[in-house]
Amino acid sequence: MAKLGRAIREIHSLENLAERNTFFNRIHPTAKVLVTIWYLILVMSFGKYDVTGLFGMCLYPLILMISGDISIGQAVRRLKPVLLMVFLIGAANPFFDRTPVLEAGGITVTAGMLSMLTLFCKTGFAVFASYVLIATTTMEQICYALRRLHMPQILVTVLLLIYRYLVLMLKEADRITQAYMLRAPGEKGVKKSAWGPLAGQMLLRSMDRAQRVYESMTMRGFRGEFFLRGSFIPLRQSVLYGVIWYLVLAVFRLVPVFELVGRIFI
Amino acid sequence: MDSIIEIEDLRFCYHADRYVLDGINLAVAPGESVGVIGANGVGKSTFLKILAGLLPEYEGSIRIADHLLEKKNYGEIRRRLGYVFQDSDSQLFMNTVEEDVAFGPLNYGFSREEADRSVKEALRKTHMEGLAGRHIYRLSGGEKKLAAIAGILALQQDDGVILMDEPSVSLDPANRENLIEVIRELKAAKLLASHDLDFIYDTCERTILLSGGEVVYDGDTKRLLRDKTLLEENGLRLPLSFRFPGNI
Amino acid sequence: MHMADALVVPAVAGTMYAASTAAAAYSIRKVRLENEPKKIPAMGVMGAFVFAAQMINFTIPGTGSSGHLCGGMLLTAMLGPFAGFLTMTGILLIQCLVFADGGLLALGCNIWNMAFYGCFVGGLLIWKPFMKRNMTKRRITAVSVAACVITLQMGAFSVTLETLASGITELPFSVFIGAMQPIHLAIGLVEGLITAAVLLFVYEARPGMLWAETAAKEEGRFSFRRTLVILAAAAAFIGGVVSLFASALPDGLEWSMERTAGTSELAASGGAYELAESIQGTTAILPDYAFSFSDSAAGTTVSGLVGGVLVIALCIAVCYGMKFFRKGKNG
Repeated sequence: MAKLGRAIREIHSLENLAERNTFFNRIHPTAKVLVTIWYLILVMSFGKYDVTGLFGMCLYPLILMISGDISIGQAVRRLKPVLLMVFLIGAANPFFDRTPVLEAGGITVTAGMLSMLTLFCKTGFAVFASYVLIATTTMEQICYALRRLHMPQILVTVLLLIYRYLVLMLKEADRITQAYMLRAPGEKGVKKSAWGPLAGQMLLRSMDRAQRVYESMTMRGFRGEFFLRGSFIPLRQSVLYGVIWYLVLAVFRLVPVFELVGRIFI
Repeated sequence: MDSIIEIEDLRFCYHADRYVLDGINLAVAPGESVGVIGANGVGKSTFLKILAGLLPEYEGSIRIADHLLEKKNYGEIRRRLGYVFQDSDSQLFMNTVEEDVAFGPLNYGFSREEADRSVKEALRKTHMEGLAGRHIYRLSGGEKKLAAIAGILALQQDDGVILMDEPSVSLDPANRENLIEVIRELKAAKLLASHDLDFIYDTCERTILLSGGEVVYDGDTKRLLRDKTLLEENGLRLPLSFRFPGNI
Repeated sequence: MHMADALVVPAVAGTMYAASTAAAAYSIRKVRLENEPKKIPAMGVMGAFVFAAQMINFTIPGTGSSGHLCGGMLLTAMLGPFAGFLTMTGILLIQCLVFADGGLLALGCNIWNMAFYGCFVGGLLIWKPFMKRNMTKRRITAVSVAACVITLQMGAFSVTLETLASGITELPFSVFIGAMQPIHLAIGLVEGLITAAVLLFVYEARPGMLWAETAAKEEGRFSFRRTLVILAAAAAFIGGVVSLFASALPDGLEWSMERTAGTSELAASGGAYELAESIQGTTAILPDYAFSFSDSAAGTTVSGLVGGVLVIALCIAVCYGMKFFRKGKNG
């Protein structure tokens, strides 16, 4: 099952990116999380025909990806999981909404085309912005930020633990399915008689592991709280970073910057 | 204080009437290194788990660092007593080495600076200084074992107790040698449960042999490991290094 | 079923975040009341397990395709609905951040569509009442399949509502729902069967591990009723907000429904274009926005495009320039 291997590689590559020491990596995670959310809200708040306004929002992920040395190709590849659904939903628009909006060189652009375009742009921008966040911030830092933003302790702890055991479980699932495939050549998946035992065995082992994790936690004084150490990140620059992006993005949302610049020349 | 661990007539059963441990007596001095050997299923792990307070329903009396082993003293005892699980992945539940080693100190209310200092010191003692920021799942088996030991050292002073369950399982020779070196350097009292007798020989001067729920031998490691009859009677075999006369 | 950010407008996203947060807050309180510190590591480890196990392909007999197991149901059966819900929330957040599966803004929707229905409806309203008295193999199978099918149907329906309420698609309600529900009926059946197989294995190996036996004793009827009340309140709240949107937006839900209402001849027409045309024909009135594009529409777009290209080019140049400068300084 190539999916499992791919998932493991994806986690590794993200971590390699997030553990670098660039300017963006050093920004306080809370600032990055808040800017990302602000960006997403603004992007999604654009009307479905506001192509030029929305267009301006591409600057944020673009600037960060270029100056943060984040591969745009990788970012595009991450569109895959959501692409099918968005495509099916968006591709319907030109069929159902054929109000002509403008004509250019004999081609009539319809409202449906515009709304499809904005939908695709929004999808891309959102995926890129999230990628920029996770490629410059480790999962622990994000959890730290979420804790600072008052996400309940128990949820943050569970998040941390899921992430901690994720690669372990992916590898185990990979081993189990490989062992299965070796003894069941030519099969594409796990056959019905093995559904229960294969996943069930792994589940029971996981529950046993959970018991040991619990014992190990209590051995070291666990009382329901995980302490995250995040104090190494400089705060003042981060506040500035956050404020600047908040303002810049707000300006781009409220003022048609691209249009104004264009009018100077036309 | 003469002994850091004092066990009197310890008995334990998972199911009524079948005692896994049936009358164990043992005293361990501070800084002493004691091997616990026996065949599979003889109760080595159970024995260590009882000492760690993970199996509270035992009979008899256990005193650790002058505290009776009972619920109200767990906090105090665990501050000085650590347990190295056989499965390191279950023990290391934080994402990075540093975070994991700091887990105990932060739970016990160390300040950030104190915690950082003790983390650094623990990593030094386990030869792990270079791997502080490493993700746990990227460590090798040997490194994981050392990280788990560091997590315990970060919490205790030199007068602590460390219990280890099969520490040498699935380690390659280099990692194994490194682990032996680390264990030898530790000043804490140590109880090592293992059926890897060569490993016990390299790390413990004293060894107890468990069989039928009792301690059938308690004394010098070298003498025990040479006693072919006693070992074989209790389901063990001579360690490789003792098989050829003149080796030692 | 994972929704991308682009499918929701902030107001819908915010509403669903509020609803999911309420469910999470309730779950957290319940888990705290249970006061089982053991559950926390179990949630983490089981979360990771479900995450990985969902990537295993299970072959569906008689077909060439494969299915996956249903995380919400499995987690509920192992940990109970509340811990299960929180674990699913964690899984969904990591899926969205690490694997870009679903969006950060749409996370509230995704939690609601998958975790809430899966754990609260599937666990509290279906699994628990049936498992309360006694647990048999047949019951486990029947309940797993029923719960998976029902919760997936509800989830698929919510996806449709949330997307339409956001007004980003011109897809009529009937077409959208006509595509979503049958697909998810098939998926639900398969997921239910796979999940049942796993739960049966656990039941035979360690029967005490499945939730409900002990939980049923601890929880009185009061809390069950209260849960129902909360469910109903949440549903009313969501319904209210959604209809608010539908009426506020020119092309929201009601509009789609209105269109759909008179489209009985739809099935007869062939081809997407004809289909679209017939739907448009039945509504007759063009929506307001058609007139919002005045003569200046073309000019706006052109100057916008020119300006955009200039600004973007400038930004890229500056970024690369700064990088070059920095490298020069370091090297």
